[in-house]
Amino acid sequence: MRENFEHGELQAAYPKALTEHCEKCPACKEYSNQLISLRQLLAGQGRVLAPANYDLKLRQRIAASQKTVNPGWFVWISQPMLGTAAAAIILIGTLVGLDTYMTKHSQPVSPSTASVTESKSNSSPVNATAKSAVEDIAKTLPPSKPLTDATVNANESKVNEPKSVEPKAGGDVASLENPGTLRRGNAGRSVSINAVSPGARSPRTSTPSVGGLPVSMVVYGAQPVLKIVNSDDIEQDGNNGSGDDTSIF
Amino acid sequence: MSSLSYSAELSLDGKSKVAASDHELIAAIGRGDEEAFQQIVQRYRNQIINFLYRMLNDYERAVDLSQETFLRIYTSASKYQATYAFSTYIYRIASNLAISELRQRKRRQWVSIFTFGKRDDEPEREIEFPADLPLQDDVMIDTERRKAIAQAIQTLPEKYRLTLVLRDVEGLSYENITEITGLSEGTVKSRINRARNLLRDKLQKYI
Repeated sequence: MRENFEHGELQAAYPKALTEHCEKCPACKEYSNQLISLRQLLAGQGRVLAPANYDLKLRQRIAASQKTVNPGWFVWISQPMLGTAAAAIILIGTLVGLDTYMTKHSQPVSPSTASVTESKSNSSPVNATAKSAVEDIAKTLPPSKPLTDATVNANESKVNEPKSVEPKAGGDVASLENPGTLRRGNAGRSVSINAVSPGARSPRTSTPSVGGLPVSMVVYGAQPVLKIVNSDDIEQDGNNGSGDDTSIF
Repeated sequence: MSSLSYSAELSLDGKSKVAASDHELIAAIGRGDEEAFQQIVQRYRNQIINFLYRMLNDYERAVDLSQETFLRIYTSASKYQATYAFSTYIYRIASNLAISELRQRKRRQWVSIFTFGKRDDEPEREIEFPADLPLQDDVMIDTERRKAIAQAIQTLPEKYRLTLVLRDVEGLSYENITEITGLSEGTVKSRINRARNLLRDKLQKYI
C-alpha cells in the first residue's frame, strides 16, 4: 500500500482498499494527499511555447550547419578513445624509434688502445664514426717512432700478458669466448674493436670483452696501434696485421 | 536535403503530412522532404521546449537546445531506425542535451567559486506566453508559486530531475521513461519517488 502511495499512482484495482486504509491511517492519508497535491502542482505548471521566430531561427541554423566545413578525418580525434589510442601509438612509435636510433649510434667503447674493424663497406655511417674516432684519438697522441721488430716483439709480449677483466653488471660473461668483437644492430653489420699489434695473432682471441664489448687494455711503455681492417680478413686468416692496414704510430 | 524551402511548400501540401505518422515523416526527412521536417517540428517543438525549460529553468537556453535537438534529427534522419517511438528518440536527444548543459553549468559554478559573481543571482526572466493561447493554469497559479516550484525542481539532482520532469511534468509513461533514460523501471520509479519526496519537503508551503 505504501509503495502505491509513493508512486502516487494508485492502480484502479486498489481504490477501495486504499480508501479504507486511508480512513483508518491518518498518516497515510496525509501522505497520499500531499503527493497528489504535488503531482497536481507539477502538472499544472504553465507550459512554455516556442517563440514566434522559432522556425526562422531553426532554418538559419540548419543552413549554417550545412555550410560548415566537414572536418574530414579530424573527426576521429574528437573521440576520446580513438584519440587516446592514437596518442599511445605515436608515443610507442617514438620510443621504439628513439631506442633504435640510440642503439645504432651509441659509442660505448673507447678505442684508446684498440683498433676499430668495420665488417661492412667503408662508406657506412658506423665505419665513418669509427674512422673519426680513430682520427680524434690519433690527434691526441704524441708522435710515434718508426716500429722496429724489437718494438713489435715487445709490444706483442705486453699485449698478450694476462689482464684482469672484471665483468660488469649485466654483461655477458659467455661472450668472453669471442673477445674483442662488438656486434651492433640487426642489419648484419658488425664492428670489431680489437687490441692489435703488428704480427700478433687474431685480436679476437687476444682481447677480452664483457658483454660483447671489448675491454680497453693499458699497454705500458708501448704506443697504441689503431687499425681499420675488414672482418673478412679476420675470418679468413685470423690475422689482421696484413699489409693494407692503416696504422698510426 | 539541400533546400530549405519547406515552409513555403507546407502551405501547398501540408495537409497530407498532418496525418502521417512520426516514422513516416522521419523516413520522408531522410529522403530530403523538408515539409516532413516542418511537420515534425510543429508537432514536437513546444513539448521539447517545455521539457528543456523545466530541466534548465532558462527559456532562451531551452529554445536553443530544442533547435539543436531538431537539427540533430534533421542531419541524422537518414540513419534513424524505428526501434522505439519517435517521441522516445527526440526526448532522448533532448535529455542528453539537457544533462550536458547541467553538467557544464556545474563546471562553470566550480570555476566561478573564485569569483564574486553568481549566476543564480541573475534576475529570472518572465516568460511571455502568447496572448492568443491563454493557459488554463494562468488563473490558478500565481507567479510566486510557479517560481517556487521551478526553483525547487532546480534543486533536485539531475538524475532525479530528469525522471520527475518526464513523468510528472511531461506526463510520459514509465515505459517511455525507461526507453529514454535507459534505466530499468524499478530504478525509474525509485528516482521518481525520491524526487517527489524531496519536492514534498521543499514545497510544504504549497501543498
